[in-house]
Amino acid sequence: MGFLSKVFKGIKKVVKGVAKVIKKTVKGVAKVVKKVAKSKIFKAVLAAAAIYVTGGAALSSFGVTTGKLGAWAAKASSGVFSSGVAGAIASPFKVLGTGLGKGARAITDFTGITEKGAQLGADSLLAGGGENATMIADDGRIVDVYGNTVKSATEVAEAASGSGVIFDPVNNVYVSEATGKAVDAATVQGSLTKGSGWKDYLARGTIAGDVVRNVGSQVATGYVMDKINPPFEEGRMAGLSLEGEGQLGPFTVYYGDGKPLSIAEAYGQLLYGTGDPMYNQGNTTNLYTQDIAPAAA
Amino acid sequence: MEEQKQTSNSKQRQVLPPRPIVSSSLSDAAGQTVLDALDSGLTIDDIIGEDKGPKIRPRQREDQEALDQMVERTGRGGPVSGQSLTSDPDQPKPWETPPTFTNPREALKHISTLILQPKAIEGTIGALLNGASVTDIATSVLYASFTEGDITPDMMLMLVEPTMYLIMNIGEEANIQYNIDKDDMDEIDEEDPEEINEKINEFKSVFEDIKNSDPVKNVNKEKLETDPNILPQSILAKVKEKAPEIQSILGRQQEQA
Repeated sequence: MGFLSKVFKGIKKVVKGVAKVIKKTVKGVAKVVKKVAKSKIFKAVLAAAAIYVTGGAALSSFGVTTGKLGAWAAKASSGVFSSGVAGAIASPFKVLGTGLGKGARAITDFTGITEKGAQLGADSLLAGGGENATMIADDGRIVDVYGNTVKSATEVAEAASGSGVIFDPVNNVYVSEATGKAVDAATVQGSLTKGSGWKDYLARGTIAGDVVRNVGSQVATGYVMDKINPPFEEGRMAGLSLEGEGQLGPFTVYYGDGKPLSIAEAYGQLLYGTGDPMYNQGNTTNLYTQDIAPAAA
Repeated sequence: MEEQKQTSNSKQRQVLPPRPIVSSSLSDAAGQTVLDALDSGLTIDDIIGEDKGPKIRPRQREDQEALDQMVERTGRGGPVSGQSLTSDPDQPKPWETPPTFTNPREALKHISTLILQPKAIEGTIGALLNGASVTDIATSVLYASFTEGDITPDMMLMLVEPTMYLIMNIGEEANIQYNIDKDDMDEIDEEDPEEINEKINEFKSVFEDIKNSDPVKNVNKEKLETDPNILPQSILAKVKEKAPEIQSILGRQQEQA
């Protein structure tokens, strides 16, 4: 059999299989949705498929917009797609990205302090051990993980008078007058008299606060831990966990039913559904054409 | 009360947003989407939109010219073994060169653009009206794309499902009762023998359960007569009063004079 004949026979076989799958899908839906004519279910399945095949471009040609499915799907694209699914996919990376960038920048301010603090006996100069992601900067300011000033050094000095906490300009840490040991940002903040201008950054219950607490402080804690502890062979990812099988294995994405789908597969095949990130983003081509970072030889 | 009723109705009709669905199969994704839409509060009529009335049934038309053409082509026979090796390597066939589209989404976009051209839609509707099946049309479109060097055979197979749906949507929009594969245009509406058997078996088992159970055994007649919450005394009294007049339909009938 020639190559072309083989290809043709192959497609004929697949086409027949797909026809069966389509009929089976209609039967499957009909089993769940009882007392509805199969022809109606078939039409509904076609309308839903039209959304995915054309990416919404030709919906009006297929009458999907005349039904309420189009509006429902449109709601999905502005609701679920952007703030739900795509949000869940894109936002954490976005938050993580900016958090990492700004957080890392902020953390660099504390590198020296941390080491000094550790030497001076402070348990952690990261306030609250992740509970309250504020830190003490070189100049005595209390800052959040983004490097934003929560309290200026002057404000702290003013509020701290008589609180038992003083700034040590030599070592750039706050120390307890009673014990002479370095104290963390939470202790400093706790000892301050909160005036009317006091602003509770990263308050509990706020999205920003929770994200920063969970992402920023963990990143910071990991970074600080790396700084305090001697270098180790196996490597440790900042604030996440030790490298294990899960981290060393191939990066995996999942189908809606929870079955793993490797990235290689995701690049090589088409995915459909409201949860398909490319469909949600409206960008249907970049996934397969983006540049691949060259690996060092 | 009326207002409350209206509020509860509007609450019931509140349409929830879709949940995320991802599948490598378009049929699966579409099926799940329909179920999700129904779960969200839409009805099947909401999804399919307005009814276009009875569908146009395709007519099989005999075309002697086309038949002759097909016989002539098949009569030519296939290539001799190794024939492809004799062709000039500097002038490869389109499918022997790298494909135009390596990205399946771009390829799908290209194919759908081709199919959705007004001329192509006209041709597709014409073919469906003449009884051509969706599988045949999809095969020819994709196979042509492959032989023109647009896509690889693997890509061609990946695009079968979306292409078929595209063609079916055209047929649906044109209100044609088309064939999906061969002569199966009425298959969707027909009752599936398997389903019928399932329903019969279900009925049989329920019937057997009723037959074998003895619901009267569990009734406490004394309680039934004394407990006013079960049967009000006034009704019971009426029944007792009328009892002599009530005759069983299985009992001896009075002879008519």
